[in-house]
Amino acid sequence: MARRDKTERLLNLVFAMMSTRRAISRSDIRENVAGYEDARSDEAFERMFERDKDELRSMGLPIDTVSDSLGEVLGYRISPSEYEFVDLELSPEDIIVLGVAAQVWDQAVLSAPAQTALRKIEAKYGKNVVTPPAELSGLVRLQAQDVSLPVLLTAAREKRVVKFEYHNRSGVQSMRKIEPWALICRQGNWYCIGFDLDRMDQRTFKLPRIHGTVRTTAEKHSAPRPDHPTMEIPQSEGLVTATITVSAGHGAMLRKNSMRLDQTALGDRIEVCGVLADLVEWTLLALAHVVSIESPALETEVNAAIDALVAGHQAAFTEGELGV
Amino acid sequence: MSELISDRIPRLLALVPWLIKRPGITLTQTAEHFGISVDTLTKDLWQIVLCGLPGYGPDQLVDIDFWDDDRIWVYDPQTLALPMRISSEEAIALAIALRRMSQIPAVNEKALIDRLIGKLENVSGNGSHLLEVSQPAQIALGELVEDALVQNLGLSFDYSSAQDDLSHRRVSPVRVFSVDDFLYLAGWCDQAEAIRSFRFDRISNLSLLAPLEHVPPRIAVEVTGLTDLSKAPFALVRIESTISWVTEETWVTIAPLTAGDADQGQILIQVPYLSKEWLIRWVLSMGGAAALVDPPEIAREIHEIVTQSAIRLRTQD
Repeated sequence: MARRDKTERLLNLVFAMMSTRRAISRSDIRENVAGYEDARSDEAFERMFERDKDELRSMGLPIDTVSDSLGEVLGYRISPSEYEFVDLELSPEDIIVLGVAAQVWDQAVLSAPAQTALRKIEAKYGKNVVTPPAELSGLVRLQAQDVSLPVLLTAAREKRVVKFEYHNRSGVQSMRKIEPWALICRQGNWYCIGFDLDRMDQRTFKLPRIHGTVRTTAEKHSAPRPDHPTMEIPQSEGLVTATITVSAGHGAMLRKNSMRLDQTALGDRIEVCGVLADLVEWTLLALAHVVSIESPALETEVNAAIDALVAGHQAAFTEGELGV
Repeated sequence: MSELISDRIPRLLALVPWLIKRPGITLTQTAEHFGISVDTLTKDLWQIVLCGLPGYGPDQLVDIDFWDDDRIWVYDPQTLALPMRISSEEAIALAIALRRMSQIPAVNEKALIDRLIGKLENVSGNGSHLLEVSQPAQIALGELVEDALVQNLGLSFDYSSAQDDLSHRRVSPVRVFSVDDFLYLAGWCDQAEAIRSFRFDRISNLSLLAPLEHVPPRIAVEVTGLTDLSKAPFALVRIESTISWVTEETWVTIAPLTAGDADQGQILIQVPYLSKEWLIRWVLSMGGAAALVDPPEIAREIHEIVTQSAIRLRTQD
């Protein structure tokens, strides 16, 4: 019930701001726009109105703050010329392709804005009923489900600082404060690259490791954003080089990150470079086919993982444990 | 109903100008077009006719007739006659999708797509560059595959499957498609004698063959099913709190715990899996912080792999 009232209040606010010639003042809104009569106090009204205004702006409504020559705020207004769809001069072919593009996000996080954009385009130009060419249908699919993605994307665009709880690789959870630069999809996983304000260095964050919501602050970016931020880990992270022998045809991740590969009688001897935690993961992925590990640091880590895996799966052989 | 207000308001604002252009359109057609149920559409319309200009008298409310024989007529839209401009986020959502489309090898509409990206960026201000979906290492491979598709050539390559074994393939290419940053080559595979999809990053030693005698039709090979987890069986995995971030993955659900597990700070999760091989590799890659509980036969297999690996790796030197 409360939510329906809010939709109504927001729509009425849009109508009021669009129909005013100069601006509608706060007091006018409070007295005359249906929905605001519920505000019990001045403070409650202010909070309600500020939130509504922010929310409408985030939906793309161009709300202007109108001030007098002394900078005193007179009120608010949505100018029809700013609200109205700008002519993109789209042809019927363009609209077919945009219709395909709107399907790309399918059930993923940016599906709603893509669909809304298409509705607006179709409201302006009319819907095209022609079936898209076969070569375009099902061409591209993006599956991101991380609700943090649109928030980080907007923050990156508006150059805002964000805060969130993050689990690092070692399982330690902490509050991070970063300036998001870009979002990248690698191997089906989504990452945010940004400048970490506590570590004063570039960092990459895996979106599923963000716990809870991402909060956007009013603070703006302070560090310059590189033109093409990449996930390449800064040298300070400490790269490790290791040599691993894997049976031919196995160890795809090791091969992909290899700097050198020699075929030997025992298998392919692969030299890889990366952060130790990555090397451990790539080695474990191919574990059944790993012939030897020549680097002590990696060997120690892989051995520890093997011990933990043996212990963790011992239960498979002892009775009674399986009825969980 | 858990619809976000930020999804509903833009739809309500788009609805009226769209209806004005189509006087007398049916509720059913409209609901279908907006991808909502007739029930939701009816609620939307009731919502809109309650709104209007301050005063809220009969002449100040939006006037829409939608109760006679299923048809909708807008009599007075008040200020809602104009379609609203596309927001930056909306333009970016489309531009990212288009940018990805234009990166796929052998797509004919590239020029048109690139022109559209330019138009959308006039609205969003280059925001689509902030999200990157590509595997730069595969560009060279993409060029070869594109040559094959354009010139109707066969392809031969080594393929390491999801099961991590290597086989040699001869393929008549049909098309390339992508899911997230993965590119797939779909084509008629001589070995499988069927249409198969091959992930680019598992292809090696690719070479072009002679022109094909029988060019397979360039049909839209269905992308669905590749990662459809809805029908996948669930595995039960016990994880340490050190990797509790895993529970934030949307495909993972938390399972009820026994008291003993909770004491030790462990979490029990359900993981959908499409192949045994994937499940084993996933558990292994967690480095011991995850242990498979069910199905027991796969747990035994993991135990076998790790004990054998321990023997192999620790006795050879």
